Amino acid sequence: MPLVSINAVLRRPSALLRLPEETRTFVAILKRELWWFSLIPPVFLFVGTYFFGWRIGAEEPIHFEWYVLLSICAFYYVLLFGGLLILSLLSRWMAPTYATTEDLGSHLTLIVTSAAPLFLGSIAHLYPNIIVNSLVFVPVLLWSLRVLYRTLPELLQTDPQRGMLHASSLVGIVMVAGVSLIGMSVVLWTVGLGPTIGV
Amino acid sequence: MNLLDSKRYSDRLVSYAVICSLLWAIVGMVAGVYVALELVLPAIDFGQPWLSYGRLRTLHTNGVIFGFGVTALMGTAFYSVQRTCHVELFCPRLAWFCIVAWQITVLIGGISLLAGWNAGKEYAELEWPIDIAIAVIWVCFGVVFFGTITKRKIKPIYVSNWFYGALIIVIAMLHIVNSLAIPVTVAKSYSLFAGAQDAVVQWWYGHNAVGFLLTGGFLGMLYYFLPKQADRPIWSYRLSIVAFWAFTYSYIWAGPHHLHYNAIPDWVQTLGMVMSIILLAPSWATMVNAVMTVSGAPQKLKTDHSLKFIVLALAFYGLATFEGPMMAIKSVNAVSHFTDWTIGHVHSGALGWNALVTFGTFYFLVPRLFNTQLYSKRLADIHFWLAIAGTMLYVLAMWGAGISQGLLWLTLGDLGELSYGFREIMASMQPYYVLRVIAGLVFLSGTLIMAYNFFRTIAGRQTVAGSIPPPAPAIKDPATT
Repeated sequence: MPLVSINAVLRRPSALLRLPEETRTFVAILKRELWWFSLIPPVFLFVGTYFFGWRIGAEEPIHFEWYVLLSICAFYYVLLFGGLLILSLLSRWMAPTYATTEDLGSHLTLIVTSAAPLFLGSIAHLYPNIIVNSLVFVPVLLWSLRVLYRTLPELLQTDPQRGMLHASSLVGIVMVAGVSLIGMSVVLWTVGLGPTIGV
Repeated sequence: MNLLDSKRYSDRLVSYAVICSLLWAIVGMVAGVYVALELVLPAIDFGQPWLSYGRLRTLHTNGVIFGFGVTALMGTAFYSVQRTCHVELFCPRLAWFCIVAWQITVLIGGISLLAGWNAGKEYAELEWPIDIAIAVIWVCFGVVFFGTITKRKIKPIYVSNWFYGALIIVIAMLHIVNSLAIPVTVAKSYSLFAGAQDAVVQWWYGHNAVGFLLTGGFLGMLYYFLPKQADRPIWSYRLSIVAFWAFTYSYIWAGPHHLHYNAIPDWVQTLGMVMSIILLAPSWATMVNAVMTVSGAPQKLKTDHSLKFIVLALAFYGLATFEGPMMAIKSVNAVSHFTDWTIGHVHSGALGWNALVTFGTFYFLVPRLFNTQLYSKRLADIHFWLAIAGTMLYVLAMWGAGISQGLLWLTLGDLGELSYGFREIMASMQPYYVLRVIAGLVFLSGTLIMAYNFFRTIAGRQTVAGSIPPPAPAIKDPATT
């Protein structure tokens, strides 16, 4: 089974285009890569948090019951899976603006490929410590950005300049989505869903 | 017409402003990295009051906002207003006075902050003698700018001038009102306002300084330099004007969101929140307009290196202008207020938007002002990636720190007592603060690379002032001329 995303991450973007086209369709990526690729971070998080606890700043790590942890990891999975799908839909929605291909499979391939370094880097979740995770995720994040900017023009069949614009728009969307998630989480906490806080 | 016979723009002062702005950027950022390091290694103040966090932090904020930011705004305003009006600056000597006097004032202001003179108002720390100097220079800035507009040869006033004009008028109003004080000595004064009124006036100033200086002023820069770099008109001129008036109307009310859950009337807090959310519309209208302008000229990204910085700045502008209204929502603010999330938000705007759009503008301006090629495109490319890395790392570290702080501060025990003490929480912030130092160093190293690149570009060269075009019968869009 060809791993499209790993190929793209570890080789030049052109290597990705040499893979059979049927491996880069929307259904193929969804069935062969996305569903289990999105499982990697939650599984690592489950194992790491179960054995070492979650250190968000307090001196003592926070330990969860296994079923609480399982529900957190399940939400994490849904968020990753759904988030990547939505991002690929948004990428295709922007396609006419940047004159890129409108084939949804190519957009999903791009998104999964760009996220692949982050998924691989999630091995750091095995020890949920801020420093360890930061040391891994900062270079991995830059690697992910590099893959996005390098792969996009070839995969979405556009010139490097339009590719740069399209990639920057995706980065903007991801940042806004990230801060929205934080904001929505905080709103849920303040209305009583989630951790008990004194507001 | 012979080029030598034609009239020339006043460009030498623009070169001077760009160089001064760059020097202030380095000074301000070095101070920023040093205070970030002090939060990790407090002993590095060596027991010296002038090296203490409280004094150096104000040097950092004043250095980057007033030194780097305002000098860049003055220089670019003087550059663009001449070209959009097709005339030389009104009273160039007064313009020179503005630029030079501003540098001296910021320098004296910086020294006074290190000496411990402090009015105790955030972003308005400078004491009354310096406040008076700022007011005088600012009025002169307005005289030069609006004087140039008055003698313009192009009938429509281009949108960048609307933003620069709003910057000049509103900042003058804010600065003068907020700085009203009773002097006691040369180094000490007390605000004319007291209690909750003082807080309301301070944050009416504070937030609108962010609005009309760090947002509106830099949008003026964007609206002139983006179409110039893309070599095409703004995507929708009508949208830009609608966005300007919507922005101007809604921003002025948003200040009270800094005072949520405070001793000011609840309806004022709610008003601040609602107006902050409304503000998202004009902010994003501008972003869409800018993105669509670049999208129509992607080929320029290949040749005009500075456009990359502007494109990235737009992404961070989108983030910061979304995050701000969201943080103004009272239930979000209950957790985010007084945490490092706010610091992260400020820096996603300051580094990602203000600094990057200015860097992009400088990459455009410097080769043109000195009529030469950029020394190294490779170095500019390295700077671009260091700027992305530094900004993202900074923002992510502060998001992490802020959420942790907010949760830990508000965690209650079984009896309703606070579960974690201040010392404990601050100690747990160390990993995030280390990351912030690294992020600052990465961003600063990019700025130093840019400074070296510019130094090699302009070494041994003089400014070549642009020539004023002869009167044209009808010019529809001054941005493309």
